[in-house]
Amino acid sequence: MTDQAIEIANVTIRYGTLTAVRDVTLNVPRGAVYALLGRNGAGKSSLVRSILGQRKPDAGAIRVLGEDVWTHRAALMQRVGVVSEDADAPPEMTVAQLARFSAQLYARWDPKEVGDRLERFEISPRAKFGALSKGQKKQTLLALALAMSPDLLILDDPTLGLDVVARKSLFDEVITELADRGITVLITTHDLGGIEMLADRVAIMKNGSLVVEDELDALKTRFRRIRFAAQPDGFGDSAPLSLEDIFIAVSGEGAQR
Amino acid sequence: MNATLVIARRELTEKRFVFVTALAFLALVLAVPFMPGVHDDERAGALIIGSLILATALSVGLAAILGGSIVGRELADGRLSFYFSKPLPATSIWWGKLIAAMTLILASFVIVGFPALLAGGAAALRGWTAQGTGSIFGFILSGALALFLLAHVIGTFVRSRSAWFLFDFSAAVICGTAMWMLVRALLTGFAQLLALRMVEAFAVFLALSVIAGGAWQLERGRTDRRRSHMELSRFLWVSIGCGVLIVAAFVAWVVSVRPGDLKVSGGRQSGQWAFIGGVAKNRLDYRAAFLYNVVDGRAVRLTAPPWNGVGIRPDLATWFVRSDGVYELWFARLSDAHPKPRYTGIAVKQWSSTWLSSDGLHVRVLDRQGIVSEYDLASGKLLRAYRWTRTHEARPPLPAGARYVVDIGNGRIVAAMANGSALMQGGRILRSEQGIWPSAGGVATIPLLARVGDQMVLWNPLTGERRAIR
Repeated sequence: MTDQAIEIANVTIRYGTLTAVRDVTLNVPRGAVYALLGRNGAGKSSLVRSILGQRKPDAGAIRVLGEDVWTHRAALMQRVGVVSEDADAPPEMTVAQLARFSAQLYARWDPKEVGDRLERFEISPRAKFGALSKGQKKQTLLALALAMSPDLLILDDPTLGLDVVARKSLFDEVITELADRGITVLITTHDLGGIEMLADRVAIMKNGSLVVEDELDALKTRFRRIRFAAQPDGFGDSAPLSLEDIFIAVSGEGAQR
Repeated sequence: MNATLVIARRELTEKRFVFVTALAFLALVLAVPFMPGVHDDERAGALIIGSLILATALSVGLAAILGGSIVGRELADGRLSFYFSKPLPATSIWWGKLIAAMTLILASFVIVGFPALLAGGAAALRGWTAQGTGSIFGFILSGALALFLLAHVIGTFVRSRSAWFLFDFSAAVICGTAMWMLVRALLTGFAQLLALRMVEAFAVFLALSVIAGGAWQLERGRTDRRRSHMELSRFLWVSIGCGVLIVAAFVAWVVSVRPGDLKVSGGRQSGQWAFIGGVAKNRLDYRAAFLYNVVDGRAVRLTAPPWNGVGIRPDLATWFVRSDGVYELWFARLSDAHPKPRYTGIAVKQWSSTWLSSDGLHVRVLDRQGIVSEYDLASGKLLRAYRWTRTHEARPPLPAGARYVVDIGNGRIVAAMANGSALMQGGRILRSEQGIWPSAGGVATIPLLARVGDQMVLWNPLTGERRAIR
């Protein structure tokens, strides 16, 4: 069994003449919380779609939990929980119907766990998915994704459009789950403050390319040295660097031009 | 299988409003007999007609809507990722959706059409259309299925907003033109039934291609609408292209008839050459015609079976071929070493008879209004026209000194010598108008064409010898 939950090798994804992802190589170790960051249009969602086996890369290969995800997608999805960016569940289905539908598809399904989690989120099983708020939709999808005991959890911008309370609630749920089970998490997000508490490794994409990829602590050390060396008087700012500082340093350049 | 049924059940649950709509249509149908202006003796008929019209309208309309949305709209709305992020094979997603859509169409037709059957619609349909209920219902539901599949393909193509659509359009034009040319090749041989069967088989093949293409599309294209379009397009055009090639090979075999393949033939002979034609073996109603040399077995295939106006003499043959609603006059110089059918350039609008001039340079065409038009055979130029007689059975006079005649009256061929004494009997002719025609004098040793059983044979009336046509 490989030590990597996700192996991405030289992946390129194109839409016509537009190259959304350019020759990206990265590995997500098993048990890690891996944050994939980037501004809008950086290529994160395209890469996630390919990691989920929904879009075949134009070049390169992706293996998830040791299997080629394009050819083994259906079998792999038994072990991969997904909270998608655009909450794509049918709006006319109730939360209970969604849970029943999912229960028929997964070998490892815990109905009690879904019920408990929905209760914690204060979401009525009778509510129609389309009538839920954005935060509740994401919470519902998270409850469904965790009920099948995933080995890998993929959260595609799970906090997009959520208020502070909903964000905290969602991250708390993931943290609890991680502490309990030690599952691998790949998360794409703009919520750098929230993810900083969780992530072991961070990758930053810019214009389709991977520009930074390292452990979060190593990344902070590296950027602190760069900042220190860049001070003209030789006395660098010794204040601790945040993930947001690094993100702006790496991704913000294009916006200033 | 389980995953397929899970999808089908979910799709049916999502679209359960269709059943409510069908029930609303049913209520409307039940109200039709009691509408103002409907008399007591008309109520059953009104119920049957209303039920059938609304059942057809609902199922056909539903087929178009469901076909357009089954994949195309969900791709465009980004909703297919819901299924694809679950442990569901792409084929299960397709078959589940397809089963649900077919169930909805069939159920809505049955719900709304049921009163028609209760009110004696089966007998009424037989009386109105001379068709059984099964064939009428089958026709409607086949049409709905065809519309559903067409809407699915168009829905996928249009919603992808891809330039690949231009390729699809071009491929559709090319394949459509190719199919029309192949059908036309059969119709040229009067094979209407065979052409119909071929088109029906191709339609079934097309439907199966679209159904299989849907599974392929979802397996290879998944949630990417442009790739989905491209994969469906690729699958369809490869399979349709192969289908057209198979049809082309079939048509090539059908039209490659040899004289020996003719089953029920008619013939007309002068000297060494004869027109022979008829239905070909194993080719349903496909007909072919040849100029056949009864002495050396050479055969010249005619581009199409003569429609009428066949004229033959030892050095020249003429015949009409129907093409695009007119009758084209063709000819062949039998005195040439290798006679070839040639178009005279003369085309008339009606069934006509012809006479050749004694020198073989001119041809006279008698139309059904009794007008004789005389043309130069080589150039097709009209030389003169005059009124002769109004007739439907204008035939050239018997050649002088006929040695062989046909006893049309009792359907048998009898050879008669010049002195008039009957000598021998030969094969049986099929119909009097297809019988053996008199042969010119001095040709007593030349075999005649005759029909024995289902086969055309060469028959020597003097010796009684029969030879199969090669």
